[in-house]
Amino acid sequence: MESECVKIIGVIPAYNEEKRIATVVAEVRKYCSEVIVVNDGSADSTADVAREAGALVVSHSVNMGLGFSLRTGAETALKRGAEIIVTIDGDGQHDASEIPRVVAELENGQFEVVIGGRPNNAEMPFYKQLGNQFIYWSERALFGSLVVDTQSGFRAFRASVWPRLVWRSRGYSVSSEIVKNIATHKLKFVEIPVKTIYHDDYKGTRIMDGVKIVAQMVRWKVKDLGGNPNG
Amino acid sequence: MAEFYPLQALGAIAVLAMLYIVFYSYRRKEFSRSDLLVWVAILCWFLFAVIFHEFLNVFIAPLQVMSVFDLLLVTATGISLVMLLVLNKRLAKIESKVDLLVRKNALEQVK
Repeated sequence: MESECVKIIGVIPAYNEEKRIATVVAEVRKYCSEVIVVNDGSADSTADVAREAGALVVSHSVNMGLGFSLRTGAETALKRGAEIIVTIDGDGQHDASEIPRVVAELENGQFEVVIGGRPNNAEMPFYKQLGNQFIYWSERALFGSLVVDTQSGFRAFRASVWPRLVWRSRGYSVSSEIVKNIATHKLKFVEIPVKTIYHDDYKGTRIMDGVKIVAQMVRWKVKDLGGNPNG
Repeated sequence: MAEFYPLQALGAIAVLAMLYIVFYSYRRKEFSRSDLLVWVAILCWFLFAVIFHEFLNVFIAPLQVMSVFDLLLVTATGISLVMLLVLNKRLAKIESKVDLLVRKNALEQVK
């Protein structure tokens, strides 16, 4: 099921996700014109599994990081004529059936970026809840951002906002940079709650990643003050 | 000749070990001739300063340092900072080239 006349491309960055990528691709394909999987130097058969599931696979010869992969995916999507780009994690954390609800917010013309926020609930590991809160307050203090779940990988944006949204981060700080760019360029955004699934072998941001993200935010702020908001 | 302290012996051994590493790297073609000359010059200077430190006393008064040890420490810190800056610049350049290459290869996969 995809919106008529609007080309929606799903971008899934993946690193060693051979166990889950097929399911994720199959689900996302139901709601997008195309699915691009960015195989970020995986050591397993993520690329082959994703390809068999029907995704267009773009591979990095070495592992470059989440931010780099997302940008490769977004640029590939733009090259293929995407009008709306949806990014979703490759570890099956996000429920793809939420895509229509997320995309609907863009199609009414009121918003340019939609972020699928994960509610703080009992299933979210406690250290993640704490970390998310810390990053939220840091982002709010430094950039005036009102996004609550700054680290969510489930987002959608119009292709037209790419020049203002484009990021340089290679690693996990990409989510914070996107939120920063939304605030800096005053993009119209909305955050809507989406379902999240936490697996036992959760791979996402750890405590040290959180520390690095906040340190990077401070660096961006210093660059902004120096008159270079694009980093 | 002035007294020879154990710390000087340790310093001399460390410098000789580094000289060995530099020559070994040059033989393995990891260092160019200019790298070799620069490092040999720096390390020989340190070796000379460690063994014949009394000759450096002439610099203490004009540079207003307390001792030869302080002079060596400040010199070593200055050289380390310069090296850090040069390495940082080289690393940034290499990272940028890797980014370009990986993204170019990735996007070329999509016709």
